Amino acid sequence: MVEVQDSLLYAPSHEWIRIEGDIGIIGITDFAQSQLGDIVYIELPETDENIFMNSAFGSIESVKTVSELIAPVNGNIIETNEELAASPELINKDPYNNGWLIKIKIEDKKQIEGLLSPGDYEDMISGGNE
Amino acid sequence: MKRTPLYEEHIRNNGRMIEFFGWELPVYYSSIKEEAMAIRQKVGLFDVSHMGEIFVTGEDAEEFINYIITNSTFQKEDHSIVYSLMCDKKGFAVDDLLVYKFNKKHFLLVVNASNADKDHKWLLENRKDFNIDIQNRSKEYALIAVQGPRSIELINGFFPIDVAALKYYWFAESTFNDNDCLISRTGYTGEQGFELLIHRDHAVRAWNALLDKGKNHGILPCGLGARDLLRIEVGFPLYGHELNEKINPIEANLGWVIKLDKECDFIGKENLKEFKEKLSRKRIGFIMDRSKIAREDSVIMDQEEHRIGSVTSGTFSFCLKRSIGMGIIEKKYIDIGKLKINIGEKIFTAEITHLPFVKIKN
Repeated sequence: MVEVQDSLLYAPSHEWIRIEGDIGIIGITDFAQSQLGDIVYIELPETDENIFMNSAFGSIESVKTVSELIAPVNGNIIETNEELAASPELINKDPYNNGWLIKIKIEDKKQIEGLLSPGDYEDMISGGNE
Repeated sequence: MKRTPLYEEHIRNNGRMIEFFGWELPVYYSSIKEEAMAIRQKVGLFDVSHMGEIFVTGEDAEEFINYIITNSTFQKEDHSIVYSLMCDKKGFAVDDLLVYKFNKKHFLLVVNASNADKDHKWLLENRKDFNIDIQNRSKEYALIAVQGPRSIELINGFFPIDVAALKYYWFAESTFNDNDCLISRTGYTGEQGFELLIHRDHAVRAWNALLDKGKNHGILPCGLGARDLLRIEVGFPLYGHELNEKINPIEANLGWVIKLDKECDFIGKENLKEFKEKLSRKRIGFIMDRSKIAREDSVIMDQEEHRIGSVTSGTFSFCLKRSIGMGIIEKKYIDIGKLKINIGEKIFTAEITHLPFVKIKN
């Protein structure tokens, strides 16, 4: 079974966000990594770039496929996970911790309200309303 | 969708099923990486029952086979196997295949699943007045590939014959659990390995017996994902990618299976001769500077960003930890070394390299 963590919020496009005050840490879910399979390449924006809710901010690639990374909220990038360039498999092994993608300053906290709760996300991936 | 006799086993082993030319087959069970590494380091099993089996028998079987294929079986002994192409009159491949020679009146052609019906039709259309019988028996058989350095250890003991004595590209008629089978020293991974052709009714027992005994050897069932990755690592062409209606066999570097001087005429010979004389493109291998995968049809360019060819296959090699690929480029550029490849509107750099990417010590 894939893991859904209680302390996070989720986007329907399978990204998670951990909210710490004005800061958001973003990654992809355990479900997403299990669907992609072995991840080999990741493309992330640079620090200080802006990301926009529901728009692609990068891409993630496995042997099987390339998939876009979609921003759950607007924000300004303050840090990216530099370990991923050499070890993209961290996303497969530990999607909620060492496999994080980007850290942002959240622009508009109201956007968080539209995200999925852990329970709703779990319903979604277990075949409910996609 | 068509299912092989091992379908239920794939579901039971959590196979991630996809459609492959009308067949429902696992792309992987656990992970493409783990499966590919199992075959490079230990042993793995593939269900390749979707492949086609066409028998050609009769007085003129050898003459007919050699009229159809580009390679030659005339000098080959009974129970040897020949890799060949069969080409149309224009010299383009109808398919690539393995030709099993039981004797000069009895042959088995093992062909790509995607082409089995087309190949059968092609054989019937070109049978002329050869005294032969052609039978597509693909539905009757299962084919299981056992690949990897521990494959001999694993399968020896299942057969009443000494399988370890089989040489590369030879086969034996034997039994598995008292059921008739063919066991051949063949595969599509570059590793030591065998392929077991057995009646579909006995496939599940054979598959599970191999998986069971293989546990001590670190065996994994492997899907189409690992199969494609492994064949790219050793530079093997795949019909529909390196070889198709636009890439001729000489361009695909398969000139070595075209015997223009063999004892008989064969379909496509004139054009193949011309392709050989006027070769303008070549198949190459390349390694990407970054781990971005160059997908099929990505445009290959020189340093000035002029189009010189395109990608035919690309993947990520877990044993090399690099993205690798093959492509067809204009012949005059094969020594330029550095390439640029346009992947999804972005340009990545790569370097031409000798095939195979992964060298196997057998």
